Amino acid sequence: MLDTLLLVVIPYICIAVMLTGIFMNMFSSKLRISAPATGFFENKTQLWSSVLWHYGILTVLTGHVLGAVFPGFVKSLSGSYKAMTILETLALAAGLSALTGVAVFIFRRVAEKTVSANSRPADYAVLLVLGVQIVLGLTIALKYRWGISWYASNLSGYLHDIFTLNPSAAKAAGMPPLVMAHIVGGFVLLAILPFTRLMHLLYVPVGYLFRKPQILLYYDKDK
Amino acid sequence: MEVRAQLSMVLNLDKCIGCHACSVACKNMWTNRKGAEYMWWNNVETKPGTGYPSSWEDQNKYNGGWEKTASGMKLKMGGQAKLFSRIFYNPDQPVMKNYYEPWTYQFENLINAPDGDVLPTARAVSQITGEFMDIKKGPNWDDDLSGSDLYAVNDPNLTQEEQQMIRDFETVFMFHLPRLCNHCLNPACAASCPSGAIYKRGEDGIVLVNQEKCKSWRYCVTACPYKKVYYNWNTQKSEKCIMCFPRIENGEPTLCAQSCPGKIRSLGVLLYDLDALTEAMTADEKDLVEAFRSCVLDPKDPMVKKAAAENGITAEWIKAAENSVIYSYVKELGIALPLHPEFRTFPSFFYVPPLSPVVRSSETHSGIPELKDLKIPARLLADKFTAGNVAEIERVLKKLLDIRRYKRALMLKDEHEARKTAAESLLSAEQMEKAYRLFTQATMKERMLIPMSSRGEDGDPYEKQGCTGFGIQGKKGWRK
Repeated sequence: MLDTLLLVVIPYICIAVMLTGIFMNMFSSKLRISAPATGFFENKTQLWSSVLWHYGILTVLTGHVLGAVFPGFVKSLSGSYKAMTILETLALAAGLSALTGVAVFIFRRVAEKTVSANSRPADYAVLLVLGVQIVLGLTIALKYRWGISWYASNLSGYLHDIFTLNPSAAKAAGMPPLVMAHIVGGFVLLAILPFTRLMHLLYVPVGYLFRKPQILLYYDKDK
Repeated sequence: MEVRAQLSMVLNLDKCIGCHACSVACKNMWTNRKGAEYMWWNNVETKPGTGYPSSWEDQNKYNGGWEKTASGMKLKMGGQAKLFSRIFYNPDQPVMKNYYEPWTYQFENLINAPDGDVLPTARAVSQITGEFMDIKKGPNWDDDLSGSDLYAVNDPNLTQEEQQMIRDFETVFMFHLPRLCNHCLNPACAASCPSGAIYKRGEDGIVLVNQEKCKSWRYCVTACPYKKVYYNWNTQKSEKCIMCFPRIENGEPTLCAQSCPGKIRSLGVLLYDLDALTEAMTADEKDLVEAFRSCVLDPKDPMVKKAAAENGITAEWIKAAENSVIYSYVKELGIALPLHPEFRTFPSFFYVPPLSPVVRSSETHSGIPELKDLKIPARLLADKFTAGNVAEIERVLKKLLDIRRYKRALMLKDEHEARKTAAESLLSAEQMEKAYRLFTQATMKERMLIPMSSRGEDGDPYEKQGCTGFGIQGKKGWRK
């Protein structure tokens, strides 16, 4: 029962909230969407917050996505001691880098007056959820050595079922509370995405790499 | 030949008295909002001086503008790959302390203070944090302080000897430099924007930031070598001078131009050749001004008119270009120069460089002084207006002196001197008469010839005063 609540009901509520939020944002409040930068007030600490955080979390997220999309490949790696050592070390380093980043982020937001005076509760909330999620992830990585292979063999199946609308808690049920919390935390992040600065994730400016240096617009479109 | 039209401005620095009427008019209309308090879309600087934001001309510090490379051009802050890698942290980005921390005063304290023995005071309060603050810097902190050790000698354009000269009180000189967005022909801000939010309008060449597309990556702030794109910390979008487009579209001049008591500004349509510009972009530094001039087309030339019409420029605009004074200033007389052409953004605003009082040693001189007697060193002006080409700036200054010499001779009925000046000058007698008229008598209608645009009425600009950004549909952000 609890498993169903945590692994099926809450995830779907979170995804529904996210989709509704994104839909609302895109169609009703375009101005709301920004990467709400505070670097204007102070940018010295950003090397230790923004850079460490973003590269760390990008590596970690890539790992999570690869594990979910290509479980077979990850499982085949788990037979090799060497490959696993490299993978675990990389993941741990990236996690620690992200943790440092988020810690400096929180410190900066509280300590830097110009920044804290212009912060919304959501700005703190998102940092807090991210911090908790990173700590949970790191603890799992250190405590449960079966983490990666279990993720590939069981959780990828569970995620697959969730996203193909064929939910079942069975594949991920009965896990230790830490793992459960990490899974639920992940879905909570999705839910708060449209209402916080995380919204900038949807606007990675890939088009920049392909466009011309000057954009010329005519009022009369016939031209 | 691909002809484009550009609304362009000429500022005659010789007539600028540094009164800041332009800045105040602009401020009251466009940047009196939360998050925009620190912005001065138009500001007037005292030169030599560090300016606003501090040392904006120093591209070793800010890495703005373009750079010539072996294969063409690239942004000085880096190519696309480098920009992308720096999206999480860009060390070249100016921060608030490079501008100043905006503040207000506790004015209500003056009225609400209880009876007492001491006068009530209105302390300064930061508009960012809401706390009391000591004001250390403001938008015009170095106004008229060109003799000062703190500001003038820190001007990035000065050599060691010139710094010493400024410390020496008797040779102190200064001039005022009104600055605003140059609505460049090759805008670096637009090229740097990851979201592609900055665009140039095809009809009139005004460069604007699309507030909905802007995602506050703030590369434009770094890329603009003039530091004329600002980041609104409240709405978290970039903003810049909009060339008063609600007014321009209705045939009215910009507020800065209209409010100028010195009548230093002229506005009008300039026709240029895009193909020639593409070539001029990579010219050598010392040839940049000449290369730039070669892109400017003569609007009276029938070939140009035909090509312009083929390119979709309306008859009204071509006629406006014909009668515009911009062409006369920039090419016919050749006395208006772009600010810092070495940034290679090709500004569409031009400056007539200032003359200056004579140095003390030549004060016995009578009549119009020689070029070498002027207090402002030609090299300093060359660094600002001709990418260091001293010969070019001397040609322009000499023309300006010739105009005065010629008119003085005529006033004193010295026909011989007048003829001699006209014969020796780079300008003909008619051209000098024309320049004299433009400088002294041209009416508002002559100086500012702005054709109506196809947009026509765009609503009452006063209704938009105080709104967040411009031309925005949809709701404001969460931040107030």
